[in-house]
Amino acid sequence: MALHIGQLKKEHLRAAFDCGNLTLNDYLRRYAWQNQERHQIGTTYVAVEESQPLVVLGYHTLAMSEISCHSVPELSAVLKRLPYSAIPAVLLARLAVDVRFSGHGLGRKLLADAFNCSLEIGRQVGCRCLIVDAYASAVHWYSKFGLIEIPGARFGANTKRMFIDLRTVERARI
Amino acid sequence: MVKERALMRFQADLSPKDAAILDSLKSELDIRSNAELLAQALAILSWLVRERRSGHTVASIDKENRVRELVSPFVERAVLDYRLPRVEIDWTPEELANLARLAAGEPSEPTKDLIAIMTGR
Repeated sequence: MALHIGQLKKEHLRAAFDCGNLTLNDYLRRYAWQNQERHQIGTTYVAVEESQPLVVLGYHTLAMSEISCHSVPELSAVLKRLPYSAIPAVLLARLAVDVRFSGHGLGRKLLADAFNCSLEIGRQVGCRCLIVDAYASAVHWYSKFGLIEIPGARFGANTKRMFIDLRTVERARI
Repeated sequence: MVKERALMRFQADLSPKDAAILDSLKSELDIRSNAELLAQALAILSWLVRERRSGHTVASIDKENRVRELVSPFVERAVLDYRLPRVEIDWTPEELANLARLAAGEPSEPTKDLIAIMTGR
């Protein structure tokens, strides 16, 4: 299967996408395009097969963020060693694979693409880490790639926040 | 009737070094006021951001055709915002404290699975 991962375009067929999670399906079908083009609050990258370049097999959504928190003594200690008052971070906001294509390593390829994109951002403007809001069922999967759960989520949150230092990702490429 | 435009008062604290650069630029460019210098600087900075957002490279070329590209981390950040939007993440204080411990430490060694996906093995 010759895969291509690129930025979401209007002509991509999103209605038939089914990853088994209604929220993630709905995001791609209804919000990904307008969040990317109109509101500019998340850029979505889709995986397609070369022979059917409009059929979305999986996707991930990225956004830039920064962690600015002088009120937190532990972070203030970290920030004192840095020239800026915040730690730049990439947020991996969504990652999903259509159930018809699961088990082919597509999720791994999408995650690698998100890491490569983050490293590229880091090279251009500086970026320290990648943050993921992972569903509980996906925490084990992310942890295999070195993402570490950050304890302390708000009570009732349905996702676990995870962290990876991009220097770790860079080391993995060598 | 000419409508009077509202002017914004702007005050800045400069280091002695920057103040000297400011005075030197005003003298070299024959600009009388700080406001006029700021207006010129803003025009050039706006142009730089527009050019970069259009995907253009801003550079100087010397007499031997050697090219020196102008790269400003601040401008690049604005350019990147254009392609990858910025969002606010809602953190709890406990999450931030735990994140600080992670961020303060040395990066961990990559796992076998991470190496596998990043190297395509």
